[in-house]
Amino acid sequence: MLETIFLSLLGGALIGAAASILLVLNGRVASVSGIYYGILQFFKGDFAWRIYFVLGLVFGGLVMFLNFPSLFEPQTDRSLMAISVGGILVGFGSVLGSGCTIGHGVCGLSRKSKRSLTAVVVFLAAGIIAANLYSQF
Amino acid sequence: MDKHKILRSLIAFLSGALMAVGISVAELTEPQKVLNFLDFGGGWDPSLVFVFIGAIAVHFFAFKYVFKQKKPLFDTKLRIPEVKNITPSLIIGSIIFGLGWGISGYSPESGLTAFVSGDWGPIAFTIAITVGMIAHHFLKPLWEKPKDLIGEDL
Repeated sequence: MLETIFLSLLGGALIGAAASILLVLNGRVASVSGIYYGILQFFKGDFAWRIYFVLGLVFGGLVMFLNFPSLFEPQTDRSLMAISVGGILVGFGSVLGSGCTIGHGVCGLSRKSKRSLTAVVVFLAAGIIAANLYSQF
Repeated sequence: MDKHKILRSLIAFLSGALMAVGISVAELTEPQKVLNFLDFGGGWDPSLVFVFIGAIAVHFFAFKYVFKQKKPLFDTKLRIPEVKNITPSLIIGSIIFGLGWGISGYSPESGLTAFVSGDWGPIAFTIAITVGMIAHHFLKPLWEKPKDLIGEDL
């Protein structure tokens, strides 16, 4: 348990450090869904860095997968159907709600945004309801 | 010519790569980890809370620092969301997001980090968020006036 807490804190600190680099050096918020949506939208003159960020995310994922494949073993009971339906809702909701777990949960809360606090409380409540209902049926 | 453009691209790449390392170390690549936090039935796992504590503890100081500096090191201005009011879109979007999160156990960053493992879960999830975002793009004229079409304002 202590090891899990330590790894969670460490992983979180690395996520925070990654977001901090982007903020302090480039002046950008590391909202992953926002960055990815910007690529799909072809934002004019505001495009290249988003591609590089997502490439970095994929590259980092690949390096970690090759070195620690056990971290990537999904032990989930969710069907591909549930994952796909969930994904469509996550994609749609992240754009409509202007953020995701990192965007609102890390970047927004770190700058004490009331909008992000509201979003986190709401998506946490919805997530808890959905996860509990799913495992009931 | 913007002399820092290449540097900013490199920084964006490094930021993404470091974030992927953090996401894997925190095991957000493992949807069951998230689901065991959201689902109270049997074997509740609080570790997701520690991920956010770790991240905010670091990032909070970055905001403090950058607000004091007024501008980032390699660009002319900070681009931080300016919208302040709590809108129906924020609430409804967050409800939809949360439902999808609780059904799948994935969020955008975990899907994008994990799909290189070749597992169908994160691959399907990443394709699905792309579909959901494109669906939003085509459906939004139903409830938005054209002038409101702005990309990312948290």
